[in-house]
Amino acid sequence: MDRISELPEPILEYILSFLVYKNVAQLSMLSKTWNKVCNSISYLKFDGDFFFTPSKYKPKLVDVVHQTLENRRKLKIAVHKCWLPLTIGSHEVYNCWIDTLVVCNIKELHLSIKSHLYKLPEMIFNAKALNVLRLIGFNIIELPCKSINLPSLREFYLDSVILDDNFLRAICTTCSNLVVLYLVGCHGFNSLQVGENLPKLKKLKLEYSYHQVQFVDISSTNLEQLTIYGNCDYLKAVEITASKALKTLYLQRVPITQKILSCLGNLDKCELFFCHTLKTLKIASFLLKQLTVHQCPNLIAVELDTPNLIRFSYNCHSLPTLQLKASASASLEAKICFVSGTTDSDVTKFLGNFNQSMVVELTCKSDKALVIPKDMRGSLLPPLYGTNRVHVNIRSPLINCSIVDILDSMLWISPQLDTLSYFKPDLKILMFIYEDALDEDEKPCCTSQPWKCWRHKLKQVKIQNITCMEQKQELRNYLYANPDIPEIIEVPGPVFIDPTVFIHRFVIG
Amino acid sequence: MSSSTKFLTLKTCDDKKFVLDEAIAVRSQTIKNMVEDDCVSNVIPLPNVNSKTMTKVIEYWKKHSEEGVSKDVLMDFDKAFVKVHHSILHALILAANFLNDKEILDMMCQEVADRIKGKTPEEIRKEFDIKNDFTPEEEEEIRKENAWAFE
Repeated sequence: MDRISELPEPILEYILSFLVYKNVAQLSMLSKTWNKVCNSISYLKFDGDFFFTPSKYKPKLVDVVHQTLENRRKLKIAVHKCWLPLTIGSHEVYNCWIDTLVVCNIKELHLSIKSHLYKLPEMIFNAKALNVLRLIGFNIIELPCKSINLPSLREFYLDSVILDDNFLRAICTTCSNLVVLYLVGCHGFNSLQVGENLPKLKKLKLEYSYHQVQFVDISSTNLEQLTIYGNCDYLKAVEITASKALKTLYLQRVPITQKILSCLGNLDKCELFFCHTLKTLKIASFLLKQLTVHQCPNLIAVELDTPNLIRFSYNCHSLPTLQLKASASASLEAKICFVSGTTDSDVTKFLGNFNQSMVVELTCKSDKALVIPKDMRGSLLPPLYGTNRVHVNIRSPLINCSIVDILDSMLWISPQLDTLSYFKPDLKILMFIYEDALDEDEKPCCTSQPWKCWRHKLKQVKIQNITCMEQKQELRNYLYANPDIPEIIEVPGPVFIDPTVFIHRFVIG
Repeated sequence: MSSSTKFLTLKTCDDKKFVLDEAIAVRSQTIKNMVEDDCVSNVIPLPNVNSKTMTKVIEYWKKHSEEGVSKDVLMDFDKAFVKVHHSILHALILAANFLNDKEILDMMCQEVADRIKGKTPEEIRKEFDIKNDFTPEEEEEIRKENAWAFE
């Protein structure tokens, strides 16, 4: 039984909205019901492939678009959504299409073009019903600003568009219902100022606007998500004020300072990349859950009072002084990647902050940074003695130290080290299996410390991919010197493939 | 179970009753509106939905309300969920439309669209049992008009 055709027409139309217009045209010959729906459908997806046909059909396609739109105008069908790449046809034809769409009260329009010569007709910025507008590749410089009247516009996406300060200012002062504003790869403007005229703005993105953009000033009170991928060479000043509702912040190559961050108390997720001006980072927040700090080379001090932080990712050349308040969440997963600490005590102090964390993944780009001198160890607490899971990757050839040096230091840093991997010349992995905590009390331990020494706990070591006999012997000598001799098992590799490992391997050569 | 958990009873057109946590049932915008407008008595009648379809809908709601389910698991669940006969697909679309659950509606409509994509009109007619009610002349004319779409 043909149940599909029995669906109410609006639902049939909705199903067709998931198809591109070419498919819709094919379906018009199924039956009279489908023909009717296809001829009046208000979702017009003329996708990129639409015009990608043998050239003899191209003039026909211009006609098809023309006729389809004309029919909607004649039958007074409101166009709900339209995707229209302006790739074939004359500028007059494009003007006519846009005109028709505006007359048909277009709600959601996605337009793209490859040429900067075409000037968008002003009437598109006067479309009263327009909710969503996406413009890709246009040149809208020198548009008279008084012609902008988009009272219903909620989402505005500009991609690779050339625009000027006047246009941007006009948008940011008149489109009072705007919720989303994305500027990706756009240029031609010097500054972006978003303030109280956009009270509903929730998401703002400014990405890859490499040239000219010098000033960004954001003070929209209800903004929740802000992304700025800038360029430090051009971007002179960024102000973020009054955006108390900000939950997600992504900044890349932005001249940011502690001052800005300190007034964002509601952040849930914060990612900072290549922020060269950042010297100190101080965050006190109950809400912050995820923090990422990558490639901020001048960062010297970090102070976090963030009891609900569950992800911390740090990847810079050196380690700053870090102060993670003791109330830090026990479910914190920390990923730390660095090349070297300034001193050995820096490394131990930094790591000591994660002693109560759930998982610590440590990636070190030098072989010696994690080798803490033996004479220092006696006077210090092992920095990660309480951490549940510790994984260590040495992303460097072993030049300065042997694997036993590293292992000995790591087992001091974390007496319950889970895995240790390193290169020589390819990825080697050591996995450590300990005795169950249950019979922990039965054996005497050589220390009177609050943690159990690994020497009496280590049951088994699985080694993978270690082919060098000499190295294997070194490891064996080291482990067998233990009072409780652990079992050493060779397991076939690779057990897991970590793409970053291979990329790195390639770099190291 | 916390004392604050409220339960709703939903009654389908074939007189079957489903008792459901209110927090889950309000995935349906229709039910949510009824709850918010306080016009929920003991039993919410769902005159357009049969029990077989409602069982599927509730199965979906429960899975998507579970805590700590990974995205992959949900994706696999969804994939399996849409692999049903046309008659069930049809019933689920109508139910999702009535219950005003955009998530299920979108997923089901996408599935129908996927089943249509890449097939010739003849294949589609066969797959969905659609009767060609055009005269040969009419059909020829439409085919000519849309010849570009078959290139």
